Amino acid sequence: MTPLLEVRDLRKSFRLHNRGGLELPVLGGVSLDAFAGECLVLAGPSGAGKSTLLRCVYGNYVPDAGSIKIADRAAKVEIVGAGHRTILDLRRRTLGYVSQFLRAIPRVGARDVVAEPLRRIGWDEERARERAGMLLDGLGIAQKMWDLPPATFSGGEQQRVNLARGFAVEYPLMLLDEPTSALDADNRRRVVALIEAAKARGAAVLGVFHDHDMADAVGTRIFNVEPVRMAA
Amino acid sequence: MNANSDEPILRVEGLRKNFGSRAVCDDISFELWPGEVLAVVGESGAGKTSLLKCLSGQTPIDAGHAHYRNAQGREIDIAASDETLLKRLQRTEWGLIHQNPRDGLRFGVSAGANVGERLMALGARHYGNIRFEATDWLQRLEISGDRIDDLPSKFSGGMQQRLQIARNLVTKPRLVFMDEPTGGLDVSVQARLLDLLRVLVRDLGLAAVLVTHDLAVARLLGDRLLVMKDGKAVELGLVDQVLDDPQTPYAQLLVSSVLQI
Repeated sequence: MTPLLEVRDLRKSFRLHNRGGLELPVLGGVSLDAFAGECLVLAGPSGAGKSTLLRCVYGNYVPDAGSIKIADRAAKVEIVGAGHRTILDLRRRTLGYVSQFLRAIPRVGARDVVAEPLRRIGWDEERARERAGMLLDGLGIAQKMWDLPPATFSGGEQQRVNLARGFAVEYPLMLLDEPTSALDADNRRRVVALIEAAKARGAAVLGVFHDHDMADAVGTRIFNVEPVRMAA
Repeated sequence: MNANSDEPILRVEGLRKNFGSRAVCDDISFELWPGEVLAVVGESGAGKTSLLKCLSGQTPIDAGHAHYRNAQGREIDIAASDETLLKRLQRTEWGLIHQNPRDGLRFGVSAGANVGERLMALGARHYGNIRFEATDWLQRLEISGDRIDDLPSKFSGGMQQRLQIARNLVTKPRLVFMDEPTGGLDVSVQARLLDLLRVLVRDLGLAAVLVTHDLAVARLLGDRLLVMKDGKAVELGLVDQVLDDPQTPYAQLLVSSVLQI
């Protein structure tokens, strides 16, 4: 079976130019594969680079070296050094990313926030809003809130809107960065169902979870991200 | 997406603009594709507005090229074009949204005439159709249709800015140049305008060059970010990539100077 995601010898450090060029190494050569239908849980101490790894895969951080290949239709696309159009295209159709926080857009109601990624791949408004409503409902967001901008919602509600948005398009590869940190047990169970459904349709899920029961519930494999040893 | 979406709509190569002996734009190069928004950021005096004026034919380019691919798929070098051609592009295939609505509207004629005028410049003659389209565009920009006969001076600053956008978009331009479109507006008014712009850019598949000093506006509306300093392009990348992982000393300083974005 060919992986949906192939990471090879990925290196990433941050150079702080305004702090005398201080260099902070974070990823010191990470290699991993993720396959269809599995949820690979990224483990490791805080600061080990779990989020950095996800952000490199999403094209949000610029790696120093290494390779990130993503299966896209019949081809394999290299992310490291790719042009912006390649990355934007992958993000539209192939790569989903859910962070801890919703980036709310002023004046836009929750349902339209969720529907937006679908509109970007050409769904008409009615169909996109219908699926958005279904996702919000599945995550326990009451219908009376659907037309309200989520900026005023509680942290847990915003996180669920964010999850609904992230799962609106059925991406083959999902990147999850502590998407349930503000959710109670009931709502976490709803998210487990969402991730299980993604696995069942053949998505590969790469996730960082702050709580063990969430990781245990959805994880099929654990990958340890080792902190880089600072040279003395 | 149109048939030309696999070719850049704008190809800028080594563009230079001098102001006296000083270069206010120095060796700027980038490409812009249909449907993309390029946000240009930097502090005052970095050359953002000069760049926009060069690209939109409002001021001559001193060296380098800016190739615009027109609706017929033909490349036109803005640097080598005469004023007649540039004026025609400004009226037809381009939109030009100024920070100050006074620079982009005619204050002596009604709101409806401001919008209808661009249609007439393209040959529309039927009064009823022009008025219908003008009303439609005012409403899309959330200006009530019964304000169509009012002079722009009767409008609030936010409404004037929305009117300026309606005037520009009524002719369905392919490329829009925006200079601080939300500058000088109250925050709540800004939010409304930004949301309208965001939806319009997406629904019309516009390509746009957006000059702003506000990184949050760049993040909301832009696909890519060009960071300028002292007339030079110091960094160019995906908006979220440049804001979250800036590579150059100046971009790092700019991003870290903002309270929260």
